[in-house]
Amino acid sequence: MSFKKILVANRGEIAVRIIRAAKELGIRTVAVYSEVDRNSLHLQFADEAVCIGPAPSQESYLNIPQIISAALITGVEAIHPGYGFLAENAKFAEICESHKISFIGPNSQTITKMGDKIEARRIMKHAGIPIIPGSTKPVESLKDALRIIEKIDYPIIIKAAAGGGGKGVRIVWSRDKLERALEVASAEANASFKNPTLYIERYLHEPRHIEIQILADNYGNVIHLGERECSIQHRHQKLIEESPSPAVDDRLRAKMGEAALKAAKAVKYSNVGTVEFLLDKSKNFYFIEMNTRIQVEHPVTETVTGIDLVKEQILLASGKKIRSQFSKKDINLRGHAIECRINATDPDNGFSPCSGKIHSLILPSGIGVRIDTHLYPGYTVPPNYDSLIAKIITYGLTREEAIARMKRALEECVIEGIKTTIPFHQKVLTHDAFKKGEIHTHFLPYVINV
Amino acid sequence: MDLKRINRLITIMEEENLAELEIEDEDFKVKIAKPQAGSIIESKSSTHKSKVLSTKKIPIKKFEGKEVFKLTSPMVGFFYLSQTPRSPHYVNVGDKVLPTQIVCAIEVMGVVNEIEAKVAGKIKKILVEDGQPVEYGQPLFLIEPEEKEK
Repeated sequence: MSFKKILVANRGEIAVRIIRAAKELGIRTVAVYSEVDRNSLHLQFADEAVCIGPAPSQESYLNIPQIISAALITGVEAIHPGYGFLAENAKFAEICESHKISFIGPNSQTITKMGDKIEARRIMKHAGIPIIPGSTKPVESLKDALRIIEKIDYPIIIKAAAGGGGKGVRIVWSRDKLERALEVASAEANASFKNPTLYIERYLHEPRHIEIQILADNYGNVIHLGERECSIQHRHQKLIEESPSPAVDDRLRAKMGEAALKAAKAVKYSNVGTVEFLLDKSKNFYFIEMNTRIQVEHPVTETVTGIDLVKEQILLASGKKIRSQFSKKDINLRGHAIECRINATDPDNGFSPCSGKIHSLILPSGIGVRIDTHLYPGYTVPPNYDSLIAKIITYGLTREEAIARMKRALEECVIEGIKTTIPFHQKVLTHDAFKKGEIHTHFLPYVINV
Repeated sequence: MDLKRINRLITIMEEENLAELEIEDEDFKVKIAKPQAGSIIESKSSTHKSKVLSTKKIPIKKFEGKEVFKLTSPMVGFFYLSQTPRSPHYVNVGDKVLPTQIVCAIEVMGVVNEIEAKVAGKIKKILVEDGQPVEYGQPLFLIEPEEKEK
């Protein structure tokens, strides 16, 4: 049974992306929007649109009763949550389930398990997947922390159990800074997630962030679609992603892929998901977390595999099996893809957000260039939401070609009216270490002053 | 105000990646907070019990040459003119209403929310048919406000 009509509970480029996938599948779409998004592109592309509240996310895109109500009045069979907002909200998934609306993603129990990072670590350790040495229980006191640090030594990283987006994260290099770091991290975790629970891991020196994309159907079949390297980050926010990773060869890919499949099976995962690992300099990899949603950087995997992940998401949620042509031997990573996130932020000013009107807009095109965006000339970027305004993805037969093409694309790109991350990307792409593929998650300070 | 000091505090906030900072000493007290776009916080306006909600804005509009208030929907749901299909309408065109008077109900996820008139006046027009879906901000009624003291 395939869906006839779905609601897209998101905005911006990902809402546009999801509507495109639905259209190609012949599925009607309902967009939801806040008052400030009245002139947003996703409304234009959808078959129907429902205003769900005023600008603040808490009153619109995070407002569960309004979104469910919009689904009920439009009679949709499923809701696609996109990423961010309600995408990893187990309660929302549960409410959808109780209203007989399919949540396009895994079930609410899986989201709950993977949303609790301590629980996720425990499950993965139990399944035999390497995790970063550290706590497998909540750290509730200084004494707890000291007991763990005795085994793993400084530097350590404190993280929030309900974590995400770098909130509640602190790196501690010595004993004298520990107590205060625990206090601040706990307060921040409580403010961001209403949950002060923390855990501790050994802090790895300049690791790479490598993640494996998986596809799972409702019948226990799971496949992986290779890796993405997302090491270029600013405060745990990814800025450049690529596939394949310059650090991963066929053997390591097979090993990491196997671990990701094991991770998915350990939680009886269904739908599209990502298993994130850190890779150290000796090529040891460690599970860090599992993301139970479509990710911002999914287009690099789509580019090298030729598989439309959002379409697969919708089909899997409607009960389809993984297609037989996706069997292992047919999925090769062909060529190389890179994505640069164009954010409305000022890289010369600590990546602080910039909102405002786009006076003129010229988007790059030509061979091997894909743009995912909700921008149009005259559009005003509101200050209320995430700063991502466009993603440029380039393809090349080799990494060199993909980089050269990205440089060319960034040069063609004109976004007038607001500051963007384009100048930052241009710096990274010409950096020697980046060109050699010698990157890691602490790479940024080598390129720019942050 | 010591702007330099505030700037320094903002820098600390950025460096420590804090969402909020509050400092108080003898002659100085300041609280700085960043807006948290996209942060996952439960909506305060979640409605699980039936309760009376009212709109924030009351836009003014011209109707038949007179200035009227446009009462808009504060939520997404099904619009009802009466409490149950058999009970009489809350209001009809021509009725006089008080600001706290219930004029309609909106059903959200099976929960009925009664909507107040917000202004004192006369119902000039009902813009939505009984049982129809409405979105946030959708005009529901035109109400001719009562003349203020003459």
